[in-house]
Amino acid sequence: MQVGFVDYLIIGIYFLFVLGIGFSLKKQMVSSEDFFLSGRSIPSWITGLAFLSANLGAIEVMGMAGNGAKYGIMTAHFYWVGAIPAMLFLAVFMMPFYYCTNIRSVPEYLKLRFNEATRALNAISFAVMTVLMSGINMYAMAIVFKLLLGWDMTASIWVSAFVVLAYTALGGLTSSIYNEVLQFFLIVLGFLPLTIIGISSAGGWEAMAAKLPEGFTHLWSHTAPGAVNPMGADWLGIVMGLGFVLSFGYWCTDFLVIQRALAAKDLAAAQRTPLIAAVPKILFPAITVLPGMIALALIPQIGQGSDKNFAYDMALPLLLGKFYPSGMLGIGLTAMLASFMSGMAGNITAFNTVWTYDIYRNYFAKDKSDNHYIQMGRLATAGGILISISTAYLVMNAESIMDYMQTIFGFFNAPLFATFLLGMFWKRATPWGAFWGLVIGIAAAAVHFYFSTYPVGHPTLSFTSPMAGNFWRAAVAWLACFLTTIAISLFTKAKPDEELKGLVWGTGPKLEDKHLPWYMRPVILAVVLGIFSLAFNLIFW
Amino acid sequence: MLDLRYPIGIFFLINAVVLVGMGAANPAASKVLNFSHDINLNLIWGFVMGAFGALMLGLSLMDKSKEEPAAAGSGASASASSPPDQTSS
Repeated sequence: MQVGFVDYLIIGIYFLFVLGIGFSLKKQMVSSEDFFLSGRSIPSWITGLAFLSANLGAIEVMGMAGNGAKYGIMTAHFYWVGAIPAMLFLAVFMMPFYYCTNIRSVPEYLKLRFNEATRALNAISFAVMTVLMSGINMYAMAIVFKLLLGWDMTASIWVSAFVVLAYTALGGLTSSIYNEVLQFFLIVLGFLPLTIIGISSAGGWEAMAAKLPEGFTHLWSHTAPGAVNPMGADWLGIVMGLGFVLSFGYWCTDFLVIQRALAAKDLAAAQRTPLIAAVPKILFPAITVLPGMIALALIPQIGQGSDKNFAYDMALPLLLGKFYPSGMLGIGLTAMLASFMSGMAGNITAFNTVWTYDIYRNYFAKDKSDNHYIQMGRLATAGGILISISTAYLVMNAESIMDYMQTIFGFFNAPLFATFLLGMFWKRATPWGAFWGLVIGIAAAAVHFYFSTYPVGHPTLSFTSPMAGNFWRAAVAWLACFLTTIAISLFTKAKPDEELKGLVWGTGPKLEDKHLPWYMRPVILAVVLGIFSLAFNLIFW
Repeated sequence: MLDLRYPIGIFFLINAVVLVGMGAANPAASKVLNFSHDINLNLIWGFVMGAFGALMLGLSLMDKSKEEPAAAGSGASASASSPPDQTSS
């Protein structure tokens, strides 16, 4: 790959703008509310695109393209089954609880609805998970730029970490959100030509499909139990594990994305946030999954042998190098950098809020000045980035970035969704029921992980692919948490009704959206988007 | 608060100038690589990015000019500092 002066110039311009946005927002960071919640003032088109973009890190861009090359169009299950339904559910049913209770973080909701212990468990596991995720972005970025351009891994990690640190520490959540939106447009405009040129180069869709292994262009038709498909997962595993547990666990409870919606200026805007994000999300396989499939059709060495230059996760960068001339290459590389940085910044801003509000202020320094907490937020940003750098090296042992991520989600997010489901929709769920449900859910995931990994080579529980194992682990963890919470709740004392006001379905504020034009009403938007998502499932059946 | 469409507009316009400049000055080095057709990708995509940047910048400037006479008319300093209404999308 020939990188010229123009390409470096484009990367340089991008860094300037990212830092410039951070600097220009610094003077507006007056209170801790501004720093951690953007003063609840951001319009929904911005929070919506940031909602999507915070999730558009290495996992989405590199990992999804890598999976496109590995599993084919079935990777789009992560969108049309594994994201859209959950995003719509979040908008219509769960967002009112989050937004109207004036919480600053997801763990804070757990404290109000259940107890301090449940909050602490969630806050700590979330903090650990976010820095691990941030580490993924660091590692992915460093390895790509080393393989592509020969850049030193340590240097790439430190330079990108410094830039993210600078703009998030200066402008807080707003700066992170604003940059995520810039990154979103850059990613779309940077990768879109790749899909168009790639399909055309392969001779059109049919000709490309003919070059791919059997089943690579079908979502469902090869998923009957026992049937062979690239992902090694049957429809039940996909629907229950991915579509229900992993997807709802992530999109409905992960503070990284919820935080973007909480920055919206009112409830209607907060509800529109995941709905606006759903529009590009439905279309995103075109610039993530498809390039992976194109890469496999055009560069058959991908995924063969142990050459890291042709690993599945290199599908997208390989395609960039194959087609883009100097100039557009700069845009493509900048889009990759942007995706890594938005993933990293998203995790770091979520981490600094949970650390500062839920852990530090609660256990270490209760009644300090507002300014004290802003300073702590900035320190936590730096601390979180330092831990991410050191965890970046953990990723090196995973089979692929995506599998690694799903493993972690199976541990933490999957049981958490059971806790939220019961907490929001069943008044009788008790504080200790929730706490022990979470503990047993995480433990069940760990036990499942142990038996599906050991003895090495012949694990007790065997799956046709690591992905299928992840789907089932998530389902097991969810079920363990769900059943334990119900069982313990039946024997422990529930909170009195007056303490549950606004926290449980039926006790909250009535949703008034009649004054909005029909195209702004959450329920109608959700139904329309649901139909589109279903249509894509049928088209690629 | 900073109207985000403003920096986004400028960012994409600058990149468009770089790409179009490259595409015009050196068409031979701006073609899609390993492709059967001669397509000056820098030039074409430079114009696409420029159009997007201009749209963003235009929307931002339009709202700003609408806001200024309103603020001057009412004499209210508060409305001058309030963010432009961007919820229409």
